[in-house]
Amino acid sequence: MKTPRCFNGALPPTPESFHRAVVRALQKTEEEPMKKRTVRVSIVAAVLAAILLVGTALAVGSHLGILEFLGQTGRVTPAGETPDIERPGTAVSNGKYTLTVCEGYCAGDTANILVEVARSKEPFAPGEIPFWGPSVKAGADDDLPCEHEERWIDGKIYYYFVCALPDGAAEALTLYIESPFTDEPVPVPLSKRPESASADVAAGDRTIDGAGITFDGISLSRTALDIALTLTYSVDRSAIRAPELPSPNLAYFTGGDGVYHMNPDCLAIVGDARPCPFDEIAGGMRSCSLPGCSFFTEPFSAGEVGFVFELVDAQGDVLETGGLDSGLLLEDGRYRETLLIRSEAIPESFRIRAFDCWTKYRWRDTVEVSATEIVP
Amino acid sequence: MTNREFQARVLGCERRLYGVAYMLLNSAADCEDAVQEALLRAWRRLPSLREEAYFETWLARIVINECKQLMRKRVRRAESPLPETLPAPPPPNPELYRALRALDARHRIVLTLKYVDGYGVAEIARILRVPQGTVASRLSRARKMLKDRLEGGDINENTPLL
Repeated sequence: MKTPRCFNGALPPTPESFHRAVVRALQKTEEEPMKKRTVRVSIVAAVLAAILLVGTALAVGSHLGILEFLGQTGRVTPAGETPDIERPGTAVSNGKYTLTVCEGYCAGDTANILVEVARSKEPFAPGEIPFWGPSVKAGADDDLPCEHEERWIDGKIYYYFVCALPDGAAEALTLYIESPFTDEPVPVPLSKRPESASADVAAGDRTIDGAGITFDGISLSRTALDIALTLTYSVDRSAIRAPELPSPNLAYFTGGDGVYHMNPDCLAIVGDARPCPFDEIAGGMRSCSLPGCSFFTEPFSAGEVGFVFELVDAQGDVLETGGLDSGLLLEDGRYRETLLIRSEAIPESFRIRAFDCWTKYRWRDTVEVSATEIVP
Repeated sequence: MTNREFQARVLGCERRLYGVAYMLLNSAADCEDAVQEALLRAWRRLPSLREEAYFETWLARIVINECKQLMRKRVRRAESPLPETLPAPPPPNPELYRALRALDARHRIVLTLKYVDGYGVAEIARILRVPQGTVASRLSRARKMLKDRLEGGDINENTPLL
């Protein structure tokens, strides 16, 4: 079987025992009153204990002069880079895992946190990144909206979070990392990012025509792992038009009710103008019925849901960027997106290109960025 | 919302909740545990639901959190899934099921929510609490991975169900 006709076939039928379990739970709700939100005593106790421990450690560390040493050894930086970023250096171990908060700072209305996880028994294998990893909380049961990237480096896993802070958040804010790697949430006291660790960069035309994107701010900063390009932008839905330019990633054709992308390895399609015969599968999702063709396609629809940014250098090469899939939706309706540039040096200039992640067609890249080297 | 309304709305989305939980836990017995706990939690927290129109996505999010908690406990205690009292019936399309199961949970869950449960991108974004663009790009990547799995021929009856 190569073409699923119906995704519902992927799941076994709901067993009767599950229905009975649901009914039993619902019966229990009849006896149980709704509760107002309360802060769990255990978390408060853990937080108080952690604050006390960290405070004591800081006082003793400061007295013995070991904080500078910890600050240096806790860094994980590409060779030759000396980012000027304060590190909390909080490390918590439960015997099996050690979780270290390598960075924790706030920059404007976002918080950036880098967490390292090491396993005591054996290093993590490449690609062994658990789904049930850490989450960032502002308090008990209070998840923050965060984008995060996970990366495996030399047997350790790194989680890089960019979180939207609530309006009016205090500058001396403490967040918490909850994860299966520690028995209690780990406090992360945020510090303000030093000005020397970031720089606004000059941008020419600050819009991407057709994508409805207007950039309000573009800045570069160094993290312990990468160079981060932060884009703050708003999207005018009424200005979105179908992207027109082909991308080197895939082959395309326009036909019927939209723009479709094709697998360039599909010999039946490449060099042939005829559209691929499609079969409807489910929910607007269609499959090409020719052997070897791209399996799924969906038509372009104007919306702010599927932008992907690329950075292109002066030679036209796409810079290798990692990570965060797309922008955080800020409380004022704008988006903030962080692209992690995996490069030792920042190119002098580059262009920002946006393409639609469904069709892979791209809009004209009209934003030229002249990068200012940030202070090392 | 009264208790009777709460019950009616839960029963209306029972199948979807099972789908989400099963795709994450791969054990009918664990699904029962997670969903029971999630329903009690949801009832207690009902006052925190600001708009009733979002009830189902809100509940799905609580179920996913409960599944994650169960997975975390398993990791901490090196536990296996609960033993099945009765084996779950096989899926009608076992090859597709295996291909989905072979994806990592992050990509499996977006495909399940969209194509099995029929949620829209905006709803999935609310359930997973990630931006809509993230959902869209994860879906795009997940479909590519699923395609590779199905076309690569590395899915068969001997493929372990992770």
